[in-house]
Parts: sequence; C-alpha cells; structure tokens
Amino acid sequence: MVFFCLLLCKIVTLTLRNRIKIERAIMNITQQELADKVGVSRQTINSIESNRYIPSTTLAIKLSNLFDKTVNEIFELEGDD
Amino acid sequence: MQKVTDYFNKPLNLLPNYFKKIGLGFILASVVFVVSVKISGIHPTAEKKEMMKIISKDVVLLGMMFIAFSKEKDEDELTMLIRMKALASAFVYIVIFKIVSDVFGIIDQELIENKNGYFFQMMIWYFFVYYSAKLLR
Repeated sequence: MVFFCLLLCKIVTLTLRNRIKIERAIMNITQQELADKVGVSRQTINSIESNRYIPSTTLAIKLSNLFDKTVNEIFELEGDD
Repeated sequence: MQKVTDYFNKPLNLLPNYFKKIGLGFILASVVFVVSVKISGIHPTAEKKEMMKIISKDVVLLGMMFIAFSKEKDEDELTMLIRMKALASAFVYIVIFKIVSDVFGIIDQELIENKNGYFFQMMIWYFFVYYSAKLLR
C-alpha cells in the first residue's frame, strides 16, 4: 500500500515541460498562427504552453517538425525521475 | 489487424457541426409546442396529454444528444479529451445519484418519483462539465 502511495506521488511530481513559447517567439508567430499550422485550436496551444495539457505523440511530432527540432528538444520530463 | 488499429487510432465519429443548430431547433420546437398547447387553452384527454409529454421529452433529449455529439468548430484532441471526461463524469454522477435517490427513497418515496429525469440530469451534468472544462482549457 505504502509502495503504491509512493509510486503515485512519484507519478504526480513528474511534469512535462516544453519550450513551445520560446520556439514560437523565435519564429515570431502567434498562438493562433501556430495552431493553424498544426491543425488545433488556439486554446490547445495555450494549454500546452502553460503545461495544463500534454499533447499526443502526433501533435508533439507535428510541433517538433514545425520548429525543426527533435521532440526531446521541445519537451522535457521534469521531476524526481 | 489493420481494422483493429483503425479502430483504436480513428477519433470518435461525431456529427457535423450544423447538428448543434438542429439540436437547438429540436429543443426550441418542443418548448414552443408545450407552451403553445398550454396557452391555446386546448384540453387534451389524459391519454393524449401523456403522449404529448413523452414525445416532447424525447424530442428535447434527441436535441440534447445532437448538441452533445456534434463536432465543435475548433474540434481537436483536447476537445475530444474534454468530451470523454465529461461523459465519464456524467456516467459516474448518474450512478451515484441513482443510488442516493434509492437510499433516500426508502424513507421518502416522493424523492424517487422522477426517474425519467435521469437522462436529462445526465445530459445537463455532461453539458456543465464539458462547457466548464472548455472555458478553463
């Protein structure tokens, strides 16, 4: 039981940070423009940028292709790994 | 094998966006029908009254389903996730509500009279969770 609680705590502390906002600023494009390019809504891009939503693999690859970077360069797993 | 992967990878088939308007039309038509019958002063027989009640409720329910299961204008993976979560929460809500109303029904039968309203409550809960989550995304 304790093990499972600890495991759960570990899962909860892990977060996926991303560099989308920075990359978007480098490319000088708005959230709406980025959303249009990858085929999602502006709100979804906003949610990803503020770490409220973890995108699917497909969307992550689309974003990395757009920024011409690898997925690992855009998304980073943070926390007690 | 191809079919199995298609099943898992394809998103949920939803109705086109214009079905939201059709659904709203159904609800409005039902409300207008009920109100016009009341205003006109027509006194239908008990049997007809019951039938009209059932039909109007079913039309409203159908309208709600059209609204719930039609695509958004900005439909994407996050919208789909919100929709799934809202559906799951609506299901859990209605099961808990049923159990609670049954438990209280042992004491007071009046509390469990409106069993037909379960679907409406489920849909209303779904809309509440779905649109709240959409606003917060």
